[in-house]
Amino acid sequence: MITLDEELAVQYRAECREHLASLEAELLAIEKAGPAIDGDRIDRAFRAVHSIKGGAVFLELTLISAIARQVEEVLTLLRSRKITATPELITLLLTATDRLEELIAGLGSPAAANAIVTALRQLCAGIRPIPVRGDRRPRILLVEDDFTSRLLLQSFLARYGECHAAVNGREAVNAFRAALEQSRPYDLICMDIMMPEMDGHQAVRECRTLEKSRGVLPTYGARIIMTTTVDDVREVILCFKELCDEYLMKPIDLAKLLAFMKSYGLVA
Amino acid sequence: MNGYLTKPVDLAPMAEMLSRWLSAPGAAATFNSEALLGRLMGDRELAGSVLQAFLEDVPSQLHKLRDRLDERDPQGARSHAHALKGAAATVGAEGLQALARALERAGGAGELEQCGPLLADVIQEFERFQSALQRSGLVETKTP
Repeated sequence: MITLDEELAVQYRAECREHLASLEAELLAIEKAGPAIDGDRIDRAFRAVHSIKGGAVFLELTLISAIARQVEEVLTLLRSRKITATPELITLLLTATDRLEELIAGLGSPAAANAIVTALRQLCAGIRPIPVRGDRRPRILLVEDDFTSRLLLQSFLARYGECHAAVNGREAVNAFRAALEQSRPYDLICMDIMMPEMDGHQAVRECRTLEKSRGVLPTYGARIIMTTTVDDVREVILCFKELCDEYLMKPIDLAKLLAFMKSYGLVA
Repeated sequence: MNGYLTKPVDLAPMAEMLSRWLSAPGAAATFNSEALLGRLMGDRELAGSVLQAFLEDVPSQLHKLRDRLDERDPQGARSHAHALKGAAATVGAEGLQALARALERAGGAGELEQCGPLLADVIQEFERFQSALQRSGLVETKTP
């Protein structure tokens, strides 16, 4: 783990406090409810750990992101009812929360972190099938108000899929809704944050709400990459709280963007 | 005189001004073509078309900025400066990016009197960028 610049560390800790508390509270409530699954609770727990992960990835805190990623995976399986909320499972998730808390406080050991990652990974091994997208060309929505940046991304992305462009968040949400209604959802969205009419935060929130209303589970919907010049961990965590998948700083390095697309199986 | 700051002195504009005068080699380049090509995975053709789009788009952006300042609308200027900053970053116009950032901040802080001189600097830097671009051979030079 790298040593955090003290100011960044203070910001990150402050931002995580609320999310750690929320994660723990939801897990305890899920434990209390037994095997009956409350989807909204799991969604809230997911959102909390996803926010923690987003900041950790941005700050290159590899142990924290590794644990958070595995917790996400378990929550996704719980949410899709591929596993049940046994007391052992909840205990494991609560232990993971403790490990996260220690690491975020600057304590904790790599050995303990790796142990919980391994335990969680074993739980998920072989359960989650890769979502089937078929072999159709990916459908991509690019949301960007700046002409130059839009031209760059559109020229590049059009090589890999059918690429549509929107110039603000409102246009993006309308395009996203229409695509869902036509059962031709987007696979990938590149979303700027600061835009006129409707900003990227609100647009992501509305897109995720539309997906949820159609029963699309978190992480099974469109992949959303925020593209922005805002270099601030609070901003990053806010975007992840809205359930974006990645945060890519501008000017965009196309190799990084391509690597994300490969990791999502959108590019061979 | 080379510049002025209104009192009480705000440290951010002062830092911008100092960094412009004292910028060492390796600081904001007028046109960092190496970084641009690096980000574009060496695709010179893509770089050419993006640069061409930038050249065509910036004059209208500068007009809009001028209009916002004439209308004494610092927040409007801020949002146009933000867009210009993003575009400049995209094409490796680092000097322009830094100036647009300064303008964005000044607009955001409602400091209209700072914005005018900054816009003049932005226009001057855009001219420098065009010259640097011609030397780079990444875009076709128009014969007058």
